[in-house]
Amino acid sequence: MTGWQGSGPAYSPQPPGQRRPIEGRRVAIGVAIAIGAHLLTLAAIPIGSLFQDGAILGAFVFLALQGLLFLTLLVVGIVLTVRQDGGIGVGLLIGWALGVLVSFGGCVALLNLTA
Amino acid sequence: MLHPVLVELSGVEIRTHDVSVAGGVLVAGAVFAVQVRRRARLGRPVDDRIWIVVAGTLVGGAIFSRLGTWLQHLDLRDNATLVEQWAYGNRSILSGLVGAYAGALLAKRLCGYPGRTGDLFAPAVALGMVVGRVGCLLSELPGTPTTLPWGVTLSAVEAAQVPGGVAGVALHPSFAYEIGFHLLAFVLLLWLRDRMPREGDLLTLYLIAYAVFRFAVEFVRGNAVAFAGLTRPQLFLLACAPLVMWQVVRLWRRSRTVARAAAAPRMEINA
Repeated sequence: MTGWQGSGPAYSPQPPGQRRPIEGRRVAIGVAIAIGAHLLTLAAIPIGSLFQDGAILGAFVFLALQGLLFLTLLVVGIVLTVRQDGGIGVGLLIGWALGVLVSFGGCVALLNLTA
Repeated sequence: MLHPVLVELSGVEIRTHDVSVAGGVLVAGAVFAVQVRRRARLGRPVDDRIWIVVAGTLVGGAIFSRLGTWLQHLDLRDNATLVEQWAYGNRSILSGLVGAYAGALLAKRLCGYPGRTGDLFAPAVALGMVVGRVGCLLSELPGTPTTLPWGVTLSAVEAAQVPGGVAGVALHPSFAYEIGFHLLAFVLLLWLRDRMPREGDLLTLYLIAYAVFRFAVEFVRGNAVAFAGLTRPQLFLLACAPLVMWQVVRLWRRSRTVARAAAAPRMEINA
């Protein structure tokens, strides 16, 4: 194997026509990354409360981060899935959708706290 | 009766509706996983690309559940902006189901998933809806006024917590009706899952039944009337009626074909 391809079974080139199977473990990693990113966007709200018009600023930054997160996870998730990465891309997409539930409920809760 | 806030932790309100929606998704996921494992045990393992179909379902459901109620007014200036709708707009189960269905179809087409997946999703969606609607039962207006003995009455405090709330008047527990429907549907779906004429018909049957039930329950749900005495969900379901009727006819014809095929060998033996 040439040096730039790396070594080990994770980097072995697949025979042409053979699809890399999707593994539940790698999907779980992708889900965890996406949900973690969602929870990080919630941090904008208490940080925004440190400034004047804190709740408004925090909500604005939160929404902006959510938009950025949506585009990033969607693009990266689709690209990785098309490249048959074994499940992380799929996990990012699943995690984004699940995180929409958590982050907005959390957003309302935190906004009520900081208002 | 109403508990819009489940618990308060250090001043942070954990809202009942959000917890129940999250719980519903988790329960649906667990039921889905059980269905997949059952298929494998029965010698019909599910293709690993089902993960891509699940991703398409969840992404489509998440997007449409929030944006499905966006353009409610014919005068576009009366509608919220996209950001306002995403952040503060009403969420819709019907829109979510449409989005999830479309997302699944698109994902299957893109990844070349072989076969139909509806039978895996149907029981999961039904039980997930049971859990999700508990949140609605505990945090939203129960329904329209009623004289039936099982009507629920809101206190003045509870009525003030929900838009359109009326204190001291017995109201239809419309979300309890829906929880009962989905629970019954879940049991029936489990019983029917190996008895349908064709793979995938289970979800079609469930969606048809829910469309009919939802149209009926909207008369006592208490949603705003939009046109000709019908609410927006009812108008949407009416628009879907031709598709529903077409699916009903297809299911009926398929069941007759299967029944005739099953009877044919016996007729040849007896001839």
